[in-house]
Amino acid sequence: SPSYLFFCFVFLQSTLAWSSLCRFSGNRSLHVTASCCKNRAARIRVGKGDRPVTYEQAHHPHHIAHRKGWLSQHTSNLKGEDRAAERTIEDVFIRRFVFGTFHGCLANEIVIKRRGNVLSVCAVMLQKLPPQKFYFLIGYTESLLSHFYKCPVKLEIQTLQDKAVYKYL
Amino acid sequence: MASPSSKAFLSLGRIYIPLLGFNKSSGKVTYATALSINSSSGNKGLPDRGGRGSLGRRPRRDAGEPRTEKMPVDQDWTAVYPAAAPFRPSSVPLPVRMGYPVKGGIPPEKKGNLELIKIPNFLHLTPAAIKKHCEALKPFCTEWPSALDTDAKCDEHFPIKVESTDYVSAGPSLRNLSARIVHLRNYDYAMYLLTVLYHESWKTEAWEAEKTVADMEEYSWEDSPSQKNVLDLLLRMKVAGEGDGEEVRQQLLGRREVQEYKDSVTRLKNEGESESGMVQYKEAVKKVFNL
Repeated sequence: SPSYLFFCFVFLQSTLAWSSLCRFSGNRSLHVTASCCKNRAARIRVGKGDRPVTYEQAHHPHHIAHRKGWLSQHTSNLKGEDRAAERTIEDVFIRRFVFGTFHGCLANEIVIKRRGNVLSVCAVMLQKLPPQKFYFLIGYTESLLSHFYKCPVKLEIQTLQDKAVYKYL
Repeated sequence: MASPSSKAFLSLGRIYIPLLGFNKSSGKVTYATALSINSSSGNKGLPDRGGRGSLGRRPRRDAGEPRTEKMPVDQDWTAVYPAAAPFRPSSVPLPVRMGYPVKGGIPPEKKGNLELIKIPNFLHLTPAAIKKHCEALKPFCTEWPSALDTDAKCDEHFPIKVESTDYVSAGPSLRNLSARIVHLRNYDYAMYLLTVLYHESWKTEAWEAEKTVADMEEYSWEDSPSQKNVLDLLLRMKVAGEGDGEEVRQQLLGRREVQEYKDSVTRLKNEGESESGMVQYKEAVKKVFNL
């Protein structure tokens, strides 16, 4: 998101400046500027070194296409294709939905791939729930999202014991 | 855990191999056997509660070893990845690493690696898989006619070409809106028109015999002023003694330089003036007059 810089100078001119009493030395002005905001998007700042961080979190957004791939893939951003906004809205909804449905179980971000009209949601989960609950939640998510988006939605899950730590910040 | 016999090889079939259609009923079978092993071990029960342990629930099973450990070297890979699927580290027996390494380290391993999941993979399109696809498609195909081995021959025998456009697009709907924009051409009607035109073009009408030189759409060198001029010039030039006869003219016409001159003039007149056309004409003229 672009950062906006405002410069506003407010001068208070005292009309008593040129009175006989020269105690007030002329202009009493108030300068106000916004601080130059540092970029804080999607960054975890370096800390004490005890906070485990995944590969996805450790790399800042400007590393996308250099060290990171894309979390969502569809053809709408190609030349001559449209409906990119609809795909983005769908992505945002799916991420929040899956995050809430499998609360506390997600090890990393969700990868969304669209192949033709199939929506494939790939997620890496922690083994916090018993498998039966996992199966139920997977079926529930798939059927609900399929009905919602009127296209086949497939959930592809991998499980891990613990999160894959990249480094400690 | 208390005893190794209680370890159940929990094949989370649905999780590792979702596309092969492992249904839940087979999953239940594995659970049942696992449960019986657990209950028969005896020295389990209340003291050994798993992670939760609120009501003496069955202890949490460990995840089994990944499928890669059990894969033989000569397995059928098309069974592991029969269709396009994301990368599954426990199904791919390769020690791949992906990612930017930490300082003084190496790229992160494949387990839990989101980068490997993000990228498209072609594990379902190995040469063996493609061979299988071809074998499956063979019954529906016929041999390519061996006489049509060059593009020129194909054009000659099948001059009509029908263009169709395919679109790649991914979204919830099956239809692509740009497919509705067509060059309005009814295929059947176009075929009918072409057939009619073909037959009509072979018929000659009576008035076509009255075509004059001015009506010609192409320049032809025979019986043209250019031919007359060239032949006159050549006769005057060299064959002063042989006389002017029809056979002499025919003989001159047959000469190679005259043919080249004819080609260059025809080209200039038909195609218009161009750099190479003028060069060709110049060469031909030089040859004719032995310059």
